[in-house]
Amino acid sequence: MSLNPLFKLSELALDGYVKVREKLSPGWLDKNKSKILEWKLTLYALTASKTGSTGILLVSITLFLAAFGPALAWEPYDVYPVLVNPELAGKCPYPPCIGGCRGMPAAGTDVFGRDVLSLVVRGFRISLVMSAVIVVASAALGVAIGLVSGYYGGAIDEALMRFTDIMLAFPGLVLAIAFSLTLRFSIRSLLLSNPALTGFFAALFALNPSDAPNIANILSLFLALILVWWPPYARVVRGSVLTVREQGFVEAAKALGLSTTRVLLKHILPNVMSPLLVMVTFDFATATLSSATLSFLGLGPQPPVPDLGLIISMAGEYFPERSWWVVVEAGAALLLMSLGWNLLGDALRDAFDPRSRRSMEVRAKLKVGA
Amino acid sequence: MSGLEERQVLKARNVTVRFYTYAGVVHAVTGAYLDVYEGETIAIVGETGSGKSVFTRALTGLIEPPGKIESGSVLFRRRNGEVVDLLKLSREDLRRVRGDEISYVFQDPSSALDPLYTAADHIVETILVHRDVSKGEAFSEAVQLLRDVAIPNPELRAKNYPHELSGGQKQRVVIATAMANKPRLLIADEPTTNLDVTVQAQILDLLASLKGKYGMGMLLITHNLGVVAEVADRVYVMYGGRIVESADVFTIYESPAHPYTAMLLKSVPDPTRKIDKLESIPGTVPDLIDVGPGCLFAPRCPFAKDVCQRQTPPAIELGDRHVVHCWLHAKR
Repeated sequence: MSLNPLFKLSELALDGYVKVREKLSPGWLDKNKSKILEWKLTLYALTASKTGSTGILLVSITLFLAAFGPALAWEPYDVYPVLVNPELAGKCPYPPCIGGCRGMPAAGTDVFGRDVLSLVVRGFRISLVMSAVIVVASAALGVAIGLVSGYYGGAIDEALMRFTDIMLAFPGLVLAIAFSLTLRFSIRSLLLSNPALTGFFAALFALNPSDAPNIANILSLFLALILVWWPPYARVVRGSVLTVREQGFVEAAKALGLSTTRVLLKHILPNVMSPLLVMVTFDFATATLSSATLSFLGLGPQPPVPDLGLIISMAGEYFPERSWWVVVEAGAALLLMSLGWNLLGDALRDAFDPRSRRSMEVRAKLKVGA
Repeated sequence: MSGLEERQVLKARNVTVRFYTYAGVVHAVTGAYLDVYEGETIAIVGETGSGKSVFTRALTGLIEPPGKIESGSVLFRRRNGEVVDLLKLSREDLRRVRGDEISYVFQDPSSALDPLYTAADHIVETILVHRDVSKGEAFSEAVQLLRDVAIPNPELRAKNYPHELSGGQKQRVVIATAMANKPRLLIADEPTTNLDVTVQAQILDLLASLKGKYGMGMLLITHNLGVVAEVADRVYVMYGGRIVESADVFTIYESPAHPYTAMLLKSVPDPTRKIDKLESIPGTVPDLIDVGPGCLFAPRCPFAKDVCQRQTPPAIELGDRHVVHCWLHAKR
């Protein structure tokens, strides 16, 4: 069996990194030899399974398009061809065509005559930034609350968990709508009074800085989603902490004089990581969909922002016979993203679990050249 | 406050621990005491639920809510000769004593190691928390410690995860971790309970040899009287959260003064004699919720008198550090 090309590629990248470090500070390689081997084994464990390699492939495509999509896109998103070219009036959305397109884009256009494929390529940036920020921020918040609550127990636990219950009692989407509406105006005035901040977020979302109100809409959307997103994390983490903290090694760690922070971060957190990791990856998909839902309800960005959810919702008016291609293309992009994250999460869980991982490593040892 | 005698490592007096549960107040440990001298092995013996584990955890304040250490003093002589009361130290100072000068080995080796870290990681972490050495030095110390606890191929085993080690090896790693900072007192809480008999003997031999090598005091908690006879110098017998008798190991076996100790010894089967029926102590371990005055063993005691039900027995010196808590020996 030959080695996975994906592994070879990542090994090449790792070797390059090691060379750079060695050049910067000679002797680094010798000191970190075992660490590098460990990294290689992790890479192998990840790339050895079909799930892992497919996940990595899809996620790299997502990351690539999120990073370079806005530069690759061949059409500006904020110029409407229907307004520029009066001939198009009444013809859009224009269906996809192969051959004989007479100057129209092969992938079809949306209602404003913009090339759908170009919009979708741009859309990756907003979707990825949105889901990443929502998931990472709310997971961090939820993990902190869950760890403290589960570890200390007693009155602290009671107070934090009842607050979590209160947050869970509201339907998340409705609460998010309320939050986003109240937050939006203060964020808008903040952005207007602070051009540097506007510039930063515009660059982050690859939007035109003159689109400040839309940027404010996006920001309010994900602040709102963070606020309603953390309670399940707090719950899951607390539950896992409750089982882990009763394990012998936590007691042993305390008896060996480790500080509470160290016990929490080095022994409890890593042991609740696998359920968390699976949840995070699933949530990458769910967060994208939730933000799309809010966009659909008119709470997110407004046209011309190339948000995938917005693109789909704008096609709704003509669905299906005059806009199916819009939905299929934008939907495929969403599918690709969420499938990639889920597959990667599964593979990561296998790679981080020492039991399943060790057996993979034993198989890998010869090939990696240990 | 009276200090420690010469060569004395630890002196605990009147330690009382209670658990405030929904069912009531559990008097887990009441007025317990303990003396440990350098190079001595002390055994604490008692049935399940007699409070022996709670007592030894309380020595370094390892009691979690709803438990609470109500009173007591635990004088401890530190490495630099300073005598401190562990129960009066700040949390941070107490944390520095744990794992450095007083170490624990708990009973279940399969759960005492974090599955996500290798054997060496555990030892290195313990060293780095307490001492200012580099990671590399700590690692080579860890390998040396694994060699000391007789793990074959220590360089290789150091990088193994707990699930790759056998039960006996795990317990050896746990012991190596506890020994990492050469503690002055090692508290071993039923270190051999979950191991099979041949491994038990090896672990006990190991503990004895380490004790000799590092000159530390050892506190062994067990309900196995065979183990006690084998390794202990002095014995404390606990019942219902109280110490009922303490003496050197020969006195305990030759002339037990407390009826409970005597019955406990009788219930150990003698392999040289053929017997029809195993001896046991009638009745069950007392419920420790909201206990009143009186001897807790009285309901099971064949010699119980009226006074036993009404008043808690006093400590009675029988000479040569043999102390018993029983009305039978009270002079009237």
